[in-house]
Amino acid sequence: MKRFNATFCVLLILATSVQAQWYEKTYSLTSGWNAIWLSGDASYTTVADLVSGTPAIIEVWRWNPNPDQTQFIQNPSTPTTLSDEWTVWKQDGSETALTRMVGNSAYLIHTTAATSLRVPLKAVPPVATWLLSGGNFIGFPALSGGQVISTYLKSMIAGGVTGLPSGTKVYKYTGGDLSTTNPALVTTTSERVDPDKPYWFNYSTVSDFEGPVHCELPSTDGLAFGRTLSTLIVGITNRNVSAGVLNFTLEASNAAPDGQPSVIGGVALTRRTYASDTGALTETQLGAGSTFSVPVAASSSSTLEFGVTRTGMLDTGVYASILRVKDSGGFMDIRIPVTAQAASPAGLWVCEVSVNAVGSTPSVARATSANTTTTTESTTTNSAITQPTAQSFPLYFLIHIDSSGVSRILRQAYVGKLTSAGNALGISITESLIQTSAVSDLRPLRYFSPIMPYATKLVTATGSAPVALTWSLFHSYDDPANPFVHTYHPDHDNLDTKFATKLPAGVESYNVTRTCNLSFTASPPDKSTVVGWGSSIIGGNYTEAISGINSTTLYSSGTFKMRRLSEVGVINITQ
Amino acid sequence: MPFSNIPIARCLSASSRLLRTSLGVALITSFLWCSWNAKAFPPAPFYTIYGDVRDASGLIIPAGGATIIFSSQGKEVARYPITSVAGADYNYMIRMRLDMNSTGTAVYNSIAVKSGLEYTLTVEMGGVNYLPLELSVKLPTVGAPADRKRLDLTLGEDSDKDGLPDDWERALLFRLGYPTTDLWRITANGVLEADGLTNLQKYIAGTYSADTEQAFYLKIATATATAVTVEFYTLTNKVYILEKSTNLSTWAPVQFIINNTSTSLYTGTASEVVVAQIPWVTGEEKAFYRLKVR
Repeated sequence: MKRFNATFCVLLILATSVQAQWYEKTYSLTSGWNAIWLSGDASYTTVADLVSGTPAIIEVWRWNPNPDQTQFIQNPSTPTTLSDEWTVWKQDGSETALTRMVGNSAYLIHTTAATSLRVPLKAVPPVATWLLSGGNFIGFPALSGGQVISTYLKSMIAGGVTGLPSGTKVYKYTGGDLSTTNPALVTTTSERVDPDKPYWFNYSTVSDFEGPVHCELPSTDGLAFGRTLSTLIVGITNRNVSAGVLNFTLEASNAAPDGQPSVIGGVALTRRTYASDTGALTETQLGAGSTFSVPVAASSSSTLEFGVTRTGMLDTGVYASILRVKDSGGFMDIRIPVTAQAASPAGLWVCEVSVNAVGSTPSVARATSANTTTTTESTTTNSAITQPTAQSFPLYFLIHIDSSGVSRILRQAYVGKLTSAGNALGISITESLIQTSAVSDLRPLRYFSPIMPYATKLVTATGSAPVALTWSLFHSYDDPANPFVHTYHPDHDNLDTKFATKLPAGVESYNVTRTCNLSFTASPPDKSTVVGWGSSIIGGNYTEAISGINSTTLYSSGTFKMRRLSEVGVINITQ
Repeated sequence: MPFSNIPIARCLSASSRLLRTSLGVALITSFLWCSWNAKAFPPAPFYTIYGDVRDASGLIIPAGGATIIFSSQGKEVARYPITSVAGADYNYMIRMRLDMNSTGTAVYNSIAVKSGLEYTLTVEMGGVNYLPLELSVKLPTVGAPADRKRLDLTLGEDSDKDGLPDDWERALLFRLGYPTTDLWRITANGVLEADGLTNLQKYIAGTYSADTEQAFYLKIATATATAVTVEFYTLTNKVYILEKSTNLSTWAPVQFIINNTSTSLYTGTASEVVVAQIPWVTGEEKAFYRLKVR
């Protein structure tokens, strides 16, 4: 008899976020060629949709700072270009490669007349990448009307050089046709850094300099507390040779654009400070519009610690704010995205079961056992009536818990941007409802649990997590996942001796019902120490009753751990 | 140096009532030559050329069948393989990296070129380099930033400089009963039959004037309330696209069903007449169709 082949396939385990915090920019465009620096992300919709209200925009070009510039098939004398420096969208449909506009990128916009482009943006931490190739087309999170270029870049250290080398040519687009004067050479000592424009720097260097003040954030989502995190640390580096003050303001997020998850409200952010002498913790609540200042020493680094208060988060949706940072020197204007969700087990989990005991349950033994905790055979959790195994055996389940607490055991799940309006990040059990990598900037992920019956795409569990969950899996006698079935074994192929007539259940293979139970515990059942237990990892004891495989019900038991793959609490179960 | 125009027609279509013959003619305009300046910055939007590379018989070179070598100033700049892009009406595309010619700056990329600079395209097949007919008279020049031009490339010899490969002309002369040395009898714009198609159009379509059975045409077989059935003659490896219009001014590719498969283009598998169904859009009063061949 074949045994269960309980391989669990996970292509890539990667927590993804649905969180977004919004602000808006309006770019004034002159007739001809303009350049804009997109400080936030607008990839939630298509380029065509973004510019649909401004028909004067006929072309959008995105600069790709580091394409596969030159590759060689045989030798360096025969280079072959494989990718483009620019990705283009044209209104006439002749170029369609640019589908979405990501943040921290420079774009050329060609217009037939002066116009303005209003863009709702998702806040993203500022990023700058200076390349040795020299094609540096970069914008900065600068304070509007703040410092001039030469002063702004004075603290940049790259290749042993401090500041922008003397004579470095910098260009900006001024509108009109492209020519030897557009882009135009700017005077770095008088041109103030415009946060909405990128500049060409004829300077080959390697650097990540985006400004005199650098905020090192826990993730590319900024301060993303998600459903589980309670504290996050921000590193602050003052690259200036003079001391200053950073002024923080907690701003409300704009409403989300159509099709994006709604913003329920602002994040109840706290600032956590420690007394240097006593070590006492002070946690200061920050409301909408709250401000605070932090002095920073010259050429120094420090950290700030933030927390979140979830008591007021009664909705399962996303709470979002923007932490805006300006410095007293008039250099920077940084928007740090802040998001949090109510503590909840909602999301997609992989459940790893370690079966370490098996056995049957003689009725007498069950009735007399002191350890029997239930009286029904199918839900027994008696560990005394099973025998320890020499080695543990892994089982993997894919479980989604939605925002209302309903738990579903899945055969497969796709995580990516939905094909529905707005293309929000989502989870579906049907591949066609998720955008493919060809059209999405986010590569979709597929999770698959072959332990499930072949024809069963999902089973709804009873109970609630993280207390207890129970579900039953029915393996039809001819299900490919049934342990009795073997397509090429004459004794287990469900065919008669002439391989002509299909046999019914109970001849070569049998209908099997597995009733599985997860009982969550407050700490690891094996008494081990697991970082994140109770939040990012939950688990407990596992029991299973297997009927149909033997004349009496068989039992197995063990422990389990669940790790969250995604915090998306909504799943599309359309089949 | 004066401007010169090189006519390169590589897009042929036919239709009549509901179907009408038309020809798309692409003109590639060469630009004034200007001197090369090795100092240039910043990068400009690339200049794009694209088109079909055909052999001396008019067949499109399949993906991987050749490599285009892009050279300038006597130096090879880059190589581009022949590609096959679903739904595209070309089998090669070159994005020329451009500088903005700002003085006193360093070139940002070693393979960047400048607008107005002459360039050469050669096609390498089986270790042999071919200079396309279109480049044998005058070299083209790099266009302006962000521009996009079609430049079809025809392989083979063109001793009479009429834009048609000698091999194809000789085959036609043979079918017509003329000496195969009388290349002067065949010109690109000459019309040898009453169907109105020029020799150049027939070259693109893969048909011959002397062959009455191999004709490029589109005919409506039946029209019902749900579908229009059309038929057209196909040749092996030729790509056929049906286009539709409701006003005879705006045309767009239309899905059609052929061999029980819905598609927007059909690649011929034999010299034969094929039948295709075009679903009728409910509520539409009239529609015009035309056939394009590559």
